[in-house]
Amino acid sequence: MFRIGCLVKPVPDTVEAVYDSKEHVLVRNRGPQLINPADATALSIALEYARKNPGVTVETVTMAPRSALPHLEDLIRRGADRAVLICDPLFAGSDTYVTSRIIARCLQRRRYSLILSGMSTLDGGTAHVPAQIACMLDLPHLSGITALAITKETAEAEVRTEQEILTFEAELPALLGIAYSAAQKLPYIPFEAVTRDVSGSMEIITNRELGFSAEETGSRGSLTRVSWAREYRCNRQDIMQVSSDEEGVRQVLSFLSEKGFIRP
Amino acid sequence: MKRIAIFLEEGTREELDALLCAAQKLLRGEKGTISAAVISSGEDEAAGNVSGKVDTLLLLDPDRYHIWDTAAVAAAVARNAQEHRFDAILFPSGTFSRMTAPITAARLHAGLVAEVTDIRDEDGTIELVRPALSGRMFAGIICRPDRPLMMSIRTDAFSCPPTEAVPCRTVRSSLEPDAGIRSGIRLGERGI
Repeated sequence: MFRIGCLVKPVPDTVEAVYDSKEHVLVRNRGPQLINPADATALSIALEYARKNPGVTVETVTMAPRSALPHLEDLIRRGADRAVLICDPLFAGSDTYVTSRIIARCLQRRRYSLILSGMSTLDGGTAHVPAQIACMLDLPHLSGITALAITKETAEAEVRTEQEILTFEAELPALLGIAYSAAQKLPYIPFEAVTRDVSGSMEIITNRELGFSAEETGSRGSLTRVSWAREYRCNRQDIMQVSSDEEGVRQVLSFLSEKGFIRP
Repeated sequence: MKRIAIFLEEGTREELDALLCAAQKLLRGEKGTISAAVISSGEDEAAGNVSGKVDTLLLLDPDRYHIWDTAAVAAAVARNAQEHRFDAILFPSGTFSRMTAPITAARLHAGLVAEVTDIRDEDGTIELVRPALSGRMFAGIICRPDRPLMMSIRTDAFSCPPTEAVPCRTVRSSLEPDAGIRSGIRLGERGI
């Protein structure tokens, strides 16, 4: 059986997110949430491969509060075969290292031929978790993938650096980090599936199944902690208009170079 | 904070200067040592850029190590860190260092802070400043003090006056890729 695991994280809408400045955590069960866009790209790749290859199954794995359940139910309605939610009060406040340990231990419970993930998330944006899970599970790892072709034993992946485009072959099983692509979208929920009861395809994993001690998880087990966090307010800048000619191009390039977006 | 290691992905002067600037901020004017690790034969531009700017230059054999083989590179960096007991390990936020850094941190069971844009000393405690929520917020992060301080830095955020040249000891690494590390990644084509 070819089973694809997709790490999926509901993330706060970056505009409407609620931050608890006292506890230094995002309040994940308040405010609008969306599926992390890069994770959605990864999942859509998996679903597309499963559609074309009978016998391939796709499971999503998520570590989040229970408020994530409706999002995961919708992913099943969009074509995922199963959704696993890792949820326990003990896990709240975990940094990326502890989060990686928790998810890795959950993934070890099933045999996956391939694990896909978004390369980073909108909220933290560290890109730590896929790499650390791969290390903990001793899986080949590559991230920043912009194109992926999957076979039963290997995956061919394209990665773009600032200077070149590289193609790699990864032996499976592997854990691969996918870059967000606006062109790769999740399928719509079919009309007949909108109200379908998918609870039988959901599983909630708590610490009872994973067996961590309190000292290993949450803020107590974390190796980093947030000391402070502040919102960053942009100051209104004067608008600079450029013409669509050589001079305008020169001005834009100069601006991008000065701000560090491109090399001089 | 006495012993600092930096890892170079591209070995360019800009990357090196940014990492050295961050390292100097960590030293806070105290005397310390800076070691650099780079995949290089010693005859290329990367080695030339580094020589004279750090106390020790560790060359990882390019016939054995490849920047995209992040598992093997991370294992080597981690072993080097354990041997020399670095207080801090700095990476650039490059395409492959974004993978190498967290794998190294996992091996060392150390906290890692990504995309650091500033380093602050708050009454003796080092705070690493980074953006969050897609740049809507900035946060100060503290790492556990009983482990190496690890970070990846946004190289464009660090700029310092040049420092004096120092005697540099070049070491060709005898670290063989760990036979127990399964890479499973092979390079295919390169294009533009």
